[in-house]
Formats: sequence, structure tokens, C-alpha cells
Amino acid sequence: MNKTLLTVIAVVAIVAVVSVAVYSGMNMTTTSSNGQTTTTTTAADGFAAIDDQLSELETYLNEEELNGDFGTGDIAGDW
Amino acid sequence: MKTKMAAIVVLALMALAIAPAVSAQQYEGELGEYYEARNEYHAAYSEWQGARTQFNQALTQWRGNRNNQNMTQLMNAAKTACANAANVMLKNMEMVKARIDATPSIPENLRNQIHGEIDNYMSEIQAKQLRVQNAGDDQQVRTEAGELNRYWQQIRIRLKQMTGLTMVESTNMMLQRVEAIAARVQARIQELKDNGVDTAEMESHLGELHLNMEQAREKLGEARNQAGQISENANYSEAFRMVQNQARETLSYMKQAMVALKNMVGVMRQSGHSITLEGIGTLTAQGDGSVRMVGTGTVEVKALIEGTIIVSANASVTTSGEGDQTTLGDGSIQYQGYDSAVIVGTDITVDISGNGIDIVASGTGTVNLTGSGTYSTFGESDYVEGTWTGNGVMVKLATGQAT
Repeated sequence: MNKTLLTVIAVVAIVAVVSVAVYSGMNMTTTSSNGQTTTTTTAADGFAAIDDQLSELETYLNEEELNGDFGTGDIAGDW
Repeated sequence: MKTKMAAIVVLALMALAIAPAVSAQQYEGELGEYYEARNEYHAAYSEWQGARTQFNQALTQWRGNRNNQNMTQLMNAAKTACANAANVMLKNMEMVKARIDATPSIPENLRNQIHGEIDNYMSEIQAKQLRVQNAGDDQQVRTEAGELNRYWQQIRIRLKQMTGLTMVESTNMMLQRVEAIAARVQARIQELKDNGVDTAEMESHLGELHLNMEQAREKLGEARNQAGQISENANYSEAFRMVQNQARETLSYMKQAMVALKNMVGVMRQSGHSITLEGIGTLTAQGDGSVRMVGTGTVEVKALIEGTIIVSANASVTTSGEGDQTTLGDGSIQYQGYDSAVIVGTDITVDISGNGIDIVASGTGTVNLTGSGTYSTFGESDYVEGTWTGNGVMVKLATGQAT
């Protein structure tokens, strides 16, 4: 088999495996449903993510209006 | 041949692995673009402030000594200030567009329509900006500046409507996320309770949660109505400020609801019971026909249905108003005639059929809608607004995908 092609396949395979691992790590969750104990492994705390989004929304909603007419009325007025 | 096939398979695997991550991060990228646009707007505003100061100084100088040199200086300062003013207007519109793009719950067709409108406004502002620069005398400068002023005042109303809509939709998206978490937490508490765990302390926070979520929904409804009042016939700036304030109040209630949720989960975790807060979403649907939800979370039936609600035996149901309950042969329970109902549980089935369906389903699992009506999904990767027909629509709550 062509060596170059083999190298390309190997590189692509490594990237694929790493991508799967990284993405799975972001979302990995194992839950038992016996109602008593649950083991959960998540990369990010769900509350922390929501808190960040709420803060972002707060910043957006608190954005104050800067604009009137940006002085164009004065320029159009009497000199 | 085998080598080529192997390469294709590996490439396909790589694409599959990367695709979901890209999808999940799509709107984070667009939020980044919004902040970039916002920074550019603020920078343009600062630049305009400098140009305005120079215009005011030149105007004072001209009024003190009306000679040719001072007139030339004033004309140049006026042109620069106008060019900067037009630039701030353009950056403002870029920012409005970027925020709309970062609000995925705004339907695509509406987003495209708004983009088209803003692009037209921007072209017109650029044309007026050029006319000011090409003005030959002071009278022409003032006339063209007046045109720019009038046009901006005219389109500002529409831009305020767009921003009001974006504020309401951004707040609604967050409200639906909090609803989804609340559904998951409530279902988990119910599951623990069904398994004999003492959940009294967790439940003590439920009232606080429900109260704040109810207030948040009410305030958001007011903000949505107020956003429709931003028009030429009213004081649009005042109407806009009211939308902004109502959205802020909605946010405040959501934050208090989050405190209640955290308290519940805190108690849960202290007693050795964990909970997953990922893989959840919300669906809202209105119409006639049938709805079947299979999963974990809550289904809120918001209004009286001319028909029936059948829930699996493992679900917990709270009703309001007068109605009838019938236990069916398979153990499931049929509800009829109640004003509203909230169904909570883990691995439950809810079948609703009839007219006047108005529901919010939150949690994880699937919902099938058949008949006629409208729906919106708020998932972790997709936000879909659509109609359901006799052919049926299947929604995955966690992702928000509808097929």
C-alpha cells in the first residue's frame, strides 16, 4: 500500500479519535435509574452554564441607549 | 480500492464526530460577533464625540468672527461630524443585525426579512453620507445633514421594534432553558419520592420555584405585548423602555427561580442523590389533534381541552378546576374537563387528544404532534418554529430537533 496514503489515513484516524474523545468528554453522562443513587459525570456544571447565559442576558438588557440623532440636527440648524 | 474505501470510512467518521460540536457552538460564535459589533459601535461613538466637539468649537469660532477661513473650517468640521454620525448609525445597525443572528429562536424567515430591511437602511445612510461629503456650500451641507437626520429618526422606530423583539426572544430562550431545568429537577424529586426517599425539604423550595416562574412568564407576556406597542403612533422610546424594564423584571424572577432550583439540587446532592442537568429542552405547542409525550420531565396543560388527557400510572398529576378521572384497564389514568394540569415524572407517557391544546413540555424524551397547530422548540442545539399537521411532527426535547 502506498506509504503516503497510509500516513494520511493514520493522521485522519487520530484526528477522528481525538475529536470523538473531546466531544464525548464534554457530554459524558452515566445515570442509574434506581431512584436512590445516581452517578453523573459531566464536563460542565449545568447551573454554571445557565448562570453565564443569564449574566450575558443581563448585560444585553442593561445596554443603555447611546443614540439621539448624533448631532445631525445641530449641523442642519442655524450656523 | 480497499485503501480508498478505508480512507472514505475514516473521513466519514471524522465528520460525524466533529459535526455535533460545531452545531452546539454555532450560536456561541454568533454571540462573539455581536460583541465585536458592539465594540465597534462604541468605538465609532467615541470617534463621533470627538468630531462633534470640533464642530461645536468651529461653530463658536464662526459665530465670533464670520470670515471665509472660519467658514471653511466650519464646513469641514460639519462634514467630518456628519460622516462620523452616519458611521455610528451604520455600526448601530450592524450591532442590531448581529444580535438578531445570536438569537436563534427568532424564525429564519423573519431574520432574513429583518436583514433585508437593515441592509436597505444601511445603503440609504451610506448614500446620504456621501451626499454630505460632496456638498459644495454651507447651505447644501445643512440640507443634506437635515436629510440624514430625518431618515435616521424615521428608521429608528423600526430599529427599536427589532431590538424590542430581540430582547423578548432572548429572554424567552432563557426562560425556556430554566423551564427545562425545573422540569428535570421536579421529575427527579418525584422519582426519589416514589422510591421512598424523604423529599420534604426539596419540595419546600418548589413553591418558591413555581411562584417565580409564574411571575417570569407573566412579565415576559407583558414585554411581548409592549413590544407590539412600539410604533409611530405612540411614544416609541417610552414603549421601548417599558419592554426593556419588563424583560429585566422577567430576568430577575428567573434568577430567583434559579436560586430555588439550586437549593433543591443542593439538598438532593447532600443526601447522596445526583442529577444530570444536560440533555434537556422545552417544547411549546398549541392546536387541535393529538400529542404524545414519552420521556422524563413535565407537561403543563395550560388550558381546558375539549378532549382527554391519558397519563401512565407512574406519573404524578396536579389538576385545577373540576373534572373527571377514570382509571383505564392498563392502569393509566384518563383526565377530562379540568381547567389545567401539570404532569411530572420519570419515563412517563402522556397522551392528549382533542381541541384547544396548549402545552409546555420540558425535559428529555420525544413528543409527537398530529393534527393542526403551531409549535416552538428550545433545545440544546436547535430552535424550531413550525406548524404540525395530519402527517405528524416528532420533536426530540433534548436537542429541539423536529422531523
